[in-house]
Amino acid sequence: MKLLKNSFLGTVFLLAISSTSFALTSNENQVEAVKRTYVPTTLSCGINGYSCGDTTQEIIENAIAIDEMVCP
Amino acid sequence: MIQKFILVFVLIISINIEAQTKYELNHKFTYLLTYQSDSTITYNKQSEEMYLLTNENVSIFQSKNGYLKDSLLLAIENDPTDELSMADISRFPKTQFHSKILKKNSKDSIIVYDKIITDNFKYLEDKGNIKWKITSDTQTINGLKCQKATTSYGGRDYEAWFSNEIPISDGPYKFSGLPGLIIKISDSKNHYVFELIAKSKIDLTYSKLEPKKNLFFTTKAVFFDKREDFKNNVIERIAQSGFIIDDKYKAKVRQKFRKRNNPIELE
Repeated sequence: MKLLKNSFLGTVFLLAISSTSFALTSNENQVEAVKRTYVPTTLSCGINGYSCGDTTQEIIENAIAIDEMVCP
Repeated sequence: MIQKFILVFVLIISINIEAQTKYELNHKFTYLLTYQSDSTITYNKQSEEMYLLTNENVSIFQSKNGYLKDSLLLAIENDPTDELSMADISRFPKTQFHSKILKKNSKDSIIVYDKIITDNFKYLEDKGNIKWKITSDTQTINGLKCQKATTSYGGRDYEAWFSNEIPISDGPYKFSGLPGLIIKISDSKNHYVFELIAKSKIDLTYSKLEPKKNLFFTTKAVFFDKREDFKNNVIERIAQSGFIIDDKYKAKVRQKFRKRNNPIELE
């Protein structure tokens, strides 16, 4: 179980820094509007999904919060 | 118009002061909470250690794992270069009790911080909501001579044992106001039992009480409504918070939450 737990956030982090960020740019004012990353994540109880966020820390914090809630 | 501006200004200043407050705490009381999250399955009890951190003026009650997790997240925030080594879930202890309760001796209300997924809530609650009846019954618990008191709170009837050998008018969760520390308190169905298992002197500066992000100052009623809404729309609310569960797991997740039907406060 500990190994599973160890692999969980490590995976989240590596995927977070390597996955594509989506930046939508307005043609009118050339201002970056949205930059959100979706990271495939396996929770410690085997449930799969995508953790999302604008920063790596946000993605990790989301994953931790959901893992704590769904896999107590 | 000017009065409204001053009022808003004072409100912002006071909120900011609360957010920056540091508490110097010198006693740590550790309670073991044994609880039953599914009211229909009596043989399945869980347990978690909880901290009551105090000085002569204030106390903070929080789960031990919540306290440890806050410390780790704060360390990452203060030193982002350390993020890589911290990105390991085994270093993030889990808790099922997110509430942090601040009691100040000088105030008539307590401040409760709680959360639903990644949204944080703060509300005030009157200390007078818990009215005690002190009885003459006594017994010794963990070497401390205790006296019995009873109360009803949040839809449960409680029996508390307090000891004036520790002359601190405080206790676990929202309970306080007795002439001594609460050593043990349990509801009549034994669904929630707090028992003091350790006490120690500490020298702690506590600075992470108020969440810095996604904090909503609300009322207890609104918070409970939000919690009910979450239970009724688990998958959708989890998605809104930033986690999309694969379709094939959605029924399993809903089932998990249906079994959590026995919160400490029923009403």
